Amino acid sequence: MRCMVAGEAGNLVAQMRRGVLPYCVLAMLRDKEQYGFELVHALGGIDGMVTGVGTIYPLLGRLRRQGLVETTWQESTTGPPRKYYRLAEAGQEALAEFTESWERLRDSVDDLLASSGRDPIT
Amino acid sequence: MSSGYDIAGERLVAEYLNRLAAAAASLPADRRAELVEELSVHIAEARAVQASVGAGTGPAVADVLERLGRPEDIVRAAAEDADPDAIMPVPVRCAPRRRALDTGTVVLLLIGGVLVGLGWVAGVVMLWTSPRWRTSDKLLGTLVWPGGLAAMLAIPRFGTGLPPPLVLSLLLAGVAGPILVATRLLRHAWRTPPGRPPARLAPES
Repeated sequence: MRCMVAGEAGNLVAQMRRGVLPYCVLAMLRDKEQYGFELVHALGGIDGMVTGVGTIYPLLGRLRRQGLVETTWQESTTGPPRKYYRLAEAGQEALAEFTESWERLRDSVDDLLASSGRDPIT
Repeated sequence: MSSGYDIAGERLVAEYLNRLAAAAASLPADRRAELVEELSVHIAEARAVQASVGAGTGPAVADVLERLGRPEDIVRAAAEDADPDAIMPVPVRCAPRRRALDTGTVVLLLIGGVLVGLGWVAGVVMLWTSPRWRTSDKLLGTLVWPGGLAAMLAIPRFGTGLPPPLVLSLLLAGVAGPILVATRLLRHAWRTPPGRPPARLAPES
């Protein structure tokens, strides 16, 4: 394993954020369908996602091509029709599986971080 | 309606979208057009929101564009689509339909030669096109023995000149071999129960 340098954790967090981002998008669509601008606006609340939010559009396209989300056009009173995204059945399944895996991982890492140093093997 | 035509803002937006279109030249035409359209709609929506609160001038537009990020980064995210599983592994579950398919493959390998004529050949095709087994398992399934249990039927016919003990041993091997391999294949196929973490996150062995 490479030597871990202070500051690499930031890069790791960026990678992890990138990895969970698709599932965060699916989660945002769980309760209601939304259009692109809405999703981007909500994404701003995710830790660290301050700039580069434009990458959500290629991500949405990918999710649609993978059959995880579906799009519909809806008329808007304030301008041109909007493309709304909603969770497809496959997307619901993917989100459920991710949630299970994430909670398992999160709990075990939390336990490890909390207990390390407290029960030394001597 | 906005109070004045915001030339500076318009120019920023046009520059941004031009940069995006240029950076996206390597993408398929439909992908590129989709991206440019989505981003320009987004920018328009953001500016509409700003206009409604009374701010639609240059610096505010620059904020919107900065939040979107560099066009090159957006295009890179779109280009990574070439290998979608690298970014977004889609969980592969051992669904009941898949298990029936795996079981059917093994059954065909075992008795397909006897009952369904070329059923064994079909079993081999299904074996090799299945993602369920390692190559070593697939080789075992094909070579032990070609024809499955049907091969055993050939032994009495072609082994008339051989000493009975030898014929008996061949028969035993002819039966035991395919059955043992079939058991191994089934065990390996069913070792990933539904609900486990996605198989694709780990490198294929």
